[in-house]
Amino acid sequence: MSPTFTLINASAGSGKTHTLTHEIAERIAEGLDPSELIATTFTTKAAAELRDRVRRTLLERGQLEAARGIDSALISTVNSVSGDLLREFALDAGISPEVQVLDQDRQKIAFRAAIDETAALAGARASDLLARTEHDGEEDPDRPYATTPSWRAHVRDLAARARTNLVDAPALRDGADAAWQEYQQAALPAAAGEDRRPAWLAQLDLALEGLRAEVHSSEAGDGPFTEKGAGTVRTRLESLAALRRQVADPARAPWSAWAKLAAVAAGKAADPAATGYVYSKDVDLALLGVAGMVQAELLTSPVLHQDIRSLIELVMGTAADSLDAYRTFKDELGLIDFVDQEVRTLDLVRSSSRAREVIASRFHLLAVDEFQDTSPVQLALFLELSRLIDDKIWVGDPKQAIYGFRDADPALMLGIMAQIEAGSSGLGTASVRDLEHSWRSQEPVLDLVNAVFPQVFPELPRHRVVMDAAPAAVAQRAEAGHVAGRLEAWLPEVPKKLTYPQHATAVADGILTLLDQPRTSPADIAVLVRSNRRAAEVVEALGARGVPASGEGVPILASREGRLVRAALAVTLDLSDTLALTELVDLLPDHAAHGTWFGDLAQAPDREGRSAVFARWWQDPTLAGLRDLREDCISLTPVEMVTALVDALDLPERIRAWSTPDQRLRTLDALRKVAAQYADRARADSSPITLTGLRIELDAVEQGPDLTGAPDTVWVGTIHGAKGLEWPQVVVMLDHDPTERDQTAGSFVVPAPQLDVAAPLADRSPRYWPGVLARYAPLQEALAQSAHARRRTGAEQEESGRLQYVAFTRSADVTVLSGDGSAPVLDGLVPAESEEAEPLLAWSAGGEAIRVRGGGSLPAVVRSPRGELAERADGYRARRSPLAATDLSGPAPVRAERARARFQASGVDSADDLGEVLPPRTIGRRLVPGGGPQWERVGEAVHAYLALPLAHLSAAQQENAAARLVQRWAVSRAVDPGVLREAGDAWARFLAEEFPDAEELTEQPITWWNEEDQVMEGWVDTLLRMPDGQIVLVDHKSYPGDDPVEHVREKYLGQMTTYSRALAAAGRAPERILMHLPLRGEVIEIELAAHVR
Amino acid sequence: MLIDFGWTADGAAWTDARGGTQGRVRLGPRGLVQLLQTRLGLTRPGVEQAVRIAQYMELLRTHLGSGEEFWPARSFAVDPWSTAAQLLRWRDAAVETGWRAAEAEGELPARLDSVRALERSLSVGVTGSLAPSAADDLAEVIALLEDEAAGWPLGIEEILLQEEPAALPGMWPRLLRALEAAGVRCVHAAQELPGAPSLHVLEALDEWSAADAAARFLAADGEGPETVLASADTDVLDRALHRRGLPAIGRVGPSRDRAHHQVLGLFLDVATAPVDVHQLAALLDLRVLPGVDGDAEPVGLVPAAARRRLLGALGREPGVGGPAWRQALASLEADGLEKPLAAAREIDRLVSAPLAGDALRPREVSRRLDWLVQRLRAVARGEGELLASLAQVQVLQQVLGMLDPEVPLARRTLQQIIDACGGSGPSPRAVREVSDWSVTTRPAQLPAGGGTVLWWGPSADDAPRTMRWDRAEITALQAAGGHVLEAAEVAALQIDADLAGLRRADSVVVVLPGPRCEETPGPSGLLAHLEAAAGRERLSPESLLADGAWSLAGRSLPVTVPAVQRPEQPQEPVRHIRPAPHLLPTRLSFTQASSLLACPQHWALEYALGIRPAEVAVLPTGPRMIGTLLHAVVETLVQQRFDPELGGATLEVPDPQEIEATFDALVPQLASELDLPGRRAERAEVREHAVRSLRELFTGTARAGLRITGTESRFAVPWTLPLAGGARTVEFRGSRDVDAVDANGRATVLDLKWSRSRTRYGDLYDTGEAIQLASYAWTLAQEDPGAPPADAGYFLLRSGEFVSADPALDPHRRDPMDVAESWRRMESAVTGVLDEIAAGTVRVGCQELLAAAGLDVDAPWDKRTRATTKARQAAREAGGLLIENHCARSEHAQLCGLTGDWR
Repeated sequence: MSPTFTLINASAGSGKTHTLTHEIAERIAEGLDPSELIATTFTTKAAAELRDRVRRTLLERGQLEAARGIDSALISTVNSVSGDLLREFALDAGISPEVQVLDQDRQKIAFRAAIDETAALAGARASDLLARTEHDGEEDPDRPYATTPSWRAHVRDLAARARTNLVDAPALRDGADAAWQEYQQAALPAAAGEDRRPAWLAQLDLALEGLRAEVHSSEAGDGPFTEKGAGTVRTRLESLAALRRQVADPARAPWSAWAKLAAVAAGKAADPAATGYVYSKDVDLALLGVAGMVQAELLTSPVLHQDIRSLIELVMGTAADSLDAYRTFKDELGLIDFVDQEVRTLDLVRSSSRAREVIASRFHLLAVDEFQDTSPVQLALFLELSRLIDDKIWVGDPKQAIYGFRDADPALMLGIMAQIEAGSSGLGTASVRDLEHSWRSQEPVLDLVNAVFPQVFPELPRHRVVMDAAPAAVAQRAEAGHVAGRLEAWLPEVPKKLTYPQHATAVADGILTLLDQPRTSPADIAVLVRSNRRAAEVVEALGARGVPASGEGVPILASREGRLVRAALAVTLDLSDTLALTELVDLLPDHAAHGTWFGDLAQAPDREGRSAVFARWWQDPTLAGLRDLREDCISLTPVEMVTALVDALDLPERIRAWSTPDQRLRTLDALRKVAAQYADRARADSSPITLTGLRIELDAVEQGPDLTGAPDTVWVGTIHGAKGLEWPQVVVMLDHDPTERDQTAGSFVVPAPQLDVAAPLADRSPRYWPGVLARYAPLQEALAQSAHARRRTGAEQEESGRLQYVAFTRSADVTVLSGDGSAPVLDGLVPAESEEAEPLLAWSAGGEAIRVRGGGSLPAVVRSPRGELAERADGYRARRSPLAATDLSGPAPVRAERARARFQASGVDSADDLGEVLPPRTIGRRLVPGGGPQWERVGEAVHAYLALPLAHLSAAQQENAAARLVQRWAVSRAVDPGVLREAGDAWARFLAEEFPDAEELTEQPITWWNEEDQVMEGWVDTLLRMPDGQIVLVDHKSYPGDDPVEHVREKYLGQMTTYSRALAAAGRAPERILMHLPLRGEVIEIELAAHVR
Repeated sequence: MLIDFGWTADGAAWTDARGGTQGRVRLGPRGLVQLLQTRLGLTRPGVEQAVRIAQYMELLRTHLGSGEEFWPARSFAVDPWSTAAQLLRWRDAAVETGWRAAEAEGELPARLDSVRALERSLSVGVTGSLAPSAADDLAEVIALLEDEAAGWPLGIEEILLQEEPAALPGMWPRLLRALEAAGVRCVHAAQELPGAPSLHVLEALDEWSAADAAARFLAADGEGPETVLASADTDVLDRALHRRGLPAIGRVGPSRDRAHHQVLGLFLDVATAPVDVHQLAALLDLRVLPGVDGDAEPVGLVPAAARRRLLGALGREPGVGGPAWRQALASLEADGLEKPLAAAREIDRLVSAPLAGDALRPREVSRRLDWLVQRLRAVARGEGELLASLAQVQVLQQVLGMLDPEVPLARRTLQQIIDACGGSGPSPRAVREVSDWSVTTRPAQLPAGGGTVLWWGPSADDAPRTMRWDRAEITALQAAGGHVLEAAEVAALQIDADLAGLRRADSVVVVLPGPRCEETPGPSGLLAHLEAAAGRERLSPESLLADGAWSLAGRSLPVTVPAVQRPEQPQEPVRHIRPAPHLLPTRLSFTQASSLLACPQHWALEYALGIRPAEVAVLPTGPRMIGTLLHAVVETLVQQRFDPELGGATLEVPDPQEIEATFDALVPQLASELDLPGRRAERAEVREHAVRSLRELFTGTARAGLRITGTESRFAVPWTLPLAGGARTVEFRGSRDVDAVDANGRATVLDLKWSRSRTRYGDLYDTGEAIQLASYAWTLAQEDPGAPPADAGYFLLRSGEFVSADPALDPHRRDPMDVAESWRRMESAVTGVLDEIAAGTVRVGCQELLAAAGLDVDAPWDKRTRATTKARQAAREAGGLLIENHCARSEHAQLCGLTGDWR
């Protein structure tokens, strides 16, 4: 078979998965064995779904055999496939076959630990440099905004980027010089010869001196300022004094302090057209001289030049060192992260001939789902696998590549696609299919997409952008009487300029209108926003109107159920936790002290009195479950403990009477997750997993439950989070003024001048530009004009276009655009030719359409929801959840001991009244005197020997068997095989005398259900069956001690009673019961009491 | 005897009949081999897999020592344990196919080649160099049956086979042939007609409502025999069953996340350098058995007295070997507590001479475990789960005993060995209780005879996992006796049996529990098969309700909807109780006084009523630990400069090296976690901060002519408050960070703060509300009534700045704080609050402030801050004092009414 390559361009909603699963089923029908399929996608959830869909497709098509075998296919995430291959070929790669995969959080911790020493040394050396450039902030600050950047965080970013792009340590070191040269050329004038900072300082002191004198004289009524003016200058002087202190020590003076001074020269004091003063008019005027001087000389400062260069070298050099250190660190601990998995698999597939052969012989179809989301390394891996596997199907949509922030590189991917499509990749004949019908959306929704996105993606052929509704889907909707689709445009009504919180309020108001429509429930609606912050605002606004929203729910510890579990855990573990106990009293309305606790406790005269009050509270019936739990909680796992606490508090029943029970039940699951994650992390850190640890963990929990999929909730989330999902109605909340960040700082990878499919990651080089003087316009403006910044800005723009495409294609029936009458984000993507031109999309109050630039218009319902809430605005009346209904009444039943379903005869207690133990009869020599060494094992060996059909074995067979058992049970030091044979002979003699005609059945299975319906399954050592059908029960016991009668009475009466009754139930009770004690050479008969026979 | 044999029948019930049976049994492969071993005299003691891996690892090591080039060599060098384990898995899998290494000739694929090389140098057996695997047992059984034991009476009349012999993998067809030759009748069970049971699938959105549905289904009356097929954990379902008075199913998995399974790893962690004090504290605090009754404290690994004192020491000084640690040991000795002392000394030995991380010699490690074994034995009282921990330690010692005593183990290898030595234990919840329905955990084991099956939690976990051989390997295996099925054929064995089991039912009711720990399990392949036949319609919880009844698949229960409960938000920011003079304090620290002023109720809750969280063995860490460390560095530096003639320290400023040396000396005792790997950068940063900032402290005080006369000076002075009910004297207690005097003998108190905020303390000073400083100055005056009033100020350790009116210390040109006036305002405010409490009025200060500003309790932070600032100003203008409350972020926030769920 010649290699083939099928590329499927699947626009949003075009039935991508359906197409892929049918392609796979078709290949299987043509003879592909399921085990020869390798299919990858990007999340574990998607992988599970894909597997399910493939199986169901096979079942629908009647390919039953294949459906049964589909579990032998490798359908998984990229990482999981890599992990499997790595494990399988670990010995070829010379790595550990059992590596622990680091998740993202632990990866961060491991990386930091690995570079700790390198960073500590480098950082200590560079302390002053980092102070001057203000890159000495905390690596993981509590409040990430408005803090000083951390050079170590930059090292981490750069190293991560280097790894996903297969950039090695030497390349990082080499990149430093280029990064500096390019930076310098882009933004720095030639360096001056001397450090002018002493001159600036002197000039500043003069200015300050002058100002102080003027204030002084003015306050005396004899100066240039009014009284009020002098006051202003005095306060400004204080902040100037602080600035003066900052720059006092040249070794550590931050450049930004000088830049702040220089800014005066660009302010209103120097240029009447500028927006304002930096300090105040009088102060700025006095500073103009020094400010002008600094402004003119700052960027030529040789020290600044050197600092920027050193910082680049520090970060890039440390990143290079860190790659090595990190690798060593992981190797020692047997750790691997996601990137390693891919990189090493790629390396393996490239270098191991065994791996190549096995992969090529084992797999015959490589299916790649969502190919547009591949990172550079993943892409290289897929290309490499594609060389080995003859049949390939890649499905995806380049218009939906939105993971640039996770290091996907759409430009690289598009380049490769183009070559594959052109057939110049060497990977086989490419056939390209474009899916152009939408199975998801109705015409009005598609009309909007078709009007906008050909302009956003001008480089794509039109047929890969526009879609029409699939005729079959249209017919189906018509048949089902589906509501017609429509567009809506919302223009929030606000007194002044629209703010985001107002917009959120308006969206909530608009959603109430949507919910007024027949057959619309909250679950039909999604709100798509740009960031998590916007999402939080919308969730809050919806909450204010009583509309339940999905996303993250109320934080665990802010919920009643969460607080109850937390408090219950604390008090159950430690009764001295009176705070937790009081919280329980406060939270449980049926606790006797609820509502009176403060007074009750305050009334107690002293400490003992208060202790008595606490003790009384603990004994309240509402806490009975916790009291029970306290007794046996120590051996529960954290997750089991959470489940037990939930039960002890009877929360599932309590919650029914509370608001939003569906969401509260999610809190309980979130609590379990906290417990599970705690255990996972503790295990990874080799810390002990204890319930006290769980308690501490729970105290620090900040998040709420994941409400995704909770019934009757509006989905609110980011466009990224909405990828792959769809809803009947989607509200797209448009950004007011989508600002672009300047791409002038940070780490990035410069693409190769010429792309090569065979080596997609070759010739790419790393860069780091520090964000020194990040707010100093002259520098930043120059950097923004650099080729690097422009290329990165362009890439960001393209990503933004794809993001909008994803947003606009999520709805089936209704798309709502919400914003200030236009979509500025689209205008940023499709700039108008003239400044006066209309926005790309526009709508106005009272209108009936969305106008499209260039004349077209799309019919739309235009609404003006209220951006500010009136007092007592109407809310949504959520119906009572179906989960509120209960089949129970009254409090939880008291804990009762219940019979276990299974029991073992040997576990049944003995009791004297069960029967009589007769005196022993000697049948042979005492074999093992006293306990003797290893007597338990000797007993096992003897026991095993007696289980053999000795009567039917030849002497040689007996001898071999005895020797074997002595050796196997490793008891040759205690006994020799002759002893076993002696025991066998004695037993045989006894049988021959006592039961000459009996048939001996050894190791017989019996099962029995007792009166309590407990089941027992066990092996009876020996049954003797008489010719008349009577049976004798025999048990061999390896007791070597001195009081066999008492021993049997104490230990075995229960067991024998059980066997006897089981045999009776199976048809015939034993006539006699014998205990054979081979080590003592005795037989003891038991006579069971009549009542147990 | 009659045997019902199925490939998936291991663990199945022996018969479907009730009552009693004898001579019939249902067995899977494991069970049948065990039976034959008994019959043939081939039993043997069980061997831990860890022991086998250790054996194989030593075989590999020896083989590698021979100098030959060997494929696994590189991986072995990186990770000997896992490489051995992996090779051993392949070896066992190859043996399972019936492959005999000795018969394999010529060139082999890499995996088989390595296995063959090792196989040549080993002997399998209990006393051999490699203990046998299940596959070896089977091979041995076959060998005996085909040879010496041919014709040996096995006592088995018939084996009813669920699968065709030819469909079974490896040596199984051969075993069955041998059995037939030995006179056992092997009959293939007649294929049942594949039926299609009726199907109901309920898709729940959370496990608790899923459990309700399943429990309701079992509680409701229904027809015919029923079986619960528990494919997923039933802990939650079991609670729902108990809630309805029904028996539990008890499918709860074993786990090592139980306290007593943590012992070994933790113990060895603490025994290895560098010692992590947090781990040490965790070991000391570890409780392994419940107390004798419900109200008793659980039993610890370390005796209670030793635990309390050593933990107390660590709480004061989070390091080992410092004064607090030594004092704890001494106190145990002084009190004559023999056993605790012995344990404490053992722990002390463990951590003062820890095993070097790169020299973990098996013998040394094993030796350290002796005390643990002894202690576990003593605590376990001969029963319970602790014996499992004990067994784990003993297996570890056994494995360590098999290794070369002098070849050090990598930290990771040791951990792997520990993990392999078992240690997971059953859940106390894993108890199946007697029920009217039968229970099984695998679809293949569903009983014959149809009936209704309640299928709990089917998921992707039901997919079979198979060992995969490549084409070339299959050829090689077959050439030397192996019998290999295609992967899909092996998988089909399980799937066909599972589907057959399900199709025996008349009706299958599926409950899908939704996400567990916020992750939804993957969809079940078996369910997809059933749905392909019966339709894909799924039920929602809502669809089960109609007209006051809940029904599912023909069973029904009446239900009611309880009235909505909504808790009330506290209305009044004040509590009225009966007059409570007995609540007035006899002692006050500055912290207490400040709490009293900020929120009287909060003070009452915490101090007067004793509502407090339990003390948890959490050592100081983060800013608190660093603050303590730097205080101690200052103290040491001052002591080193102390000149009795001067009555204080010299004005000599310590040079950076001296500060660094002091810092370095104190870290192991006061902040030993900074010495752990991974903390170097942080340690370096703190040290750099310390050097810069402490130099500033000494430079500044010297510049200002201040001589430090004391650090951490404790005080306890009587404070008489003019209460309405008569003057009351309380003891005012605490300690001052730094006392100093200037050349004129005027005293200054400095308080050291390791705080992020750079403006907070300046603000308190400037507004005269730095009552901490005021009270310290007041205590100085009380101690030396004749002296001129003291100055006071802050020193901020993080930024190295003073807050003071002395321009030599603080360039901000602040106006001096009126210390006496501050104290007066504080005293009057305290008096007022105590008068109110005595009269039975307890104000909720935090609520009051919000109410006055018209704010809700959940008002945003900036609004609340603004309200506080305004209220402070208003109080100040009225000559009073308002102290900012921190109730919202405190542990008492709920009781203060600041957090709550009033939805």
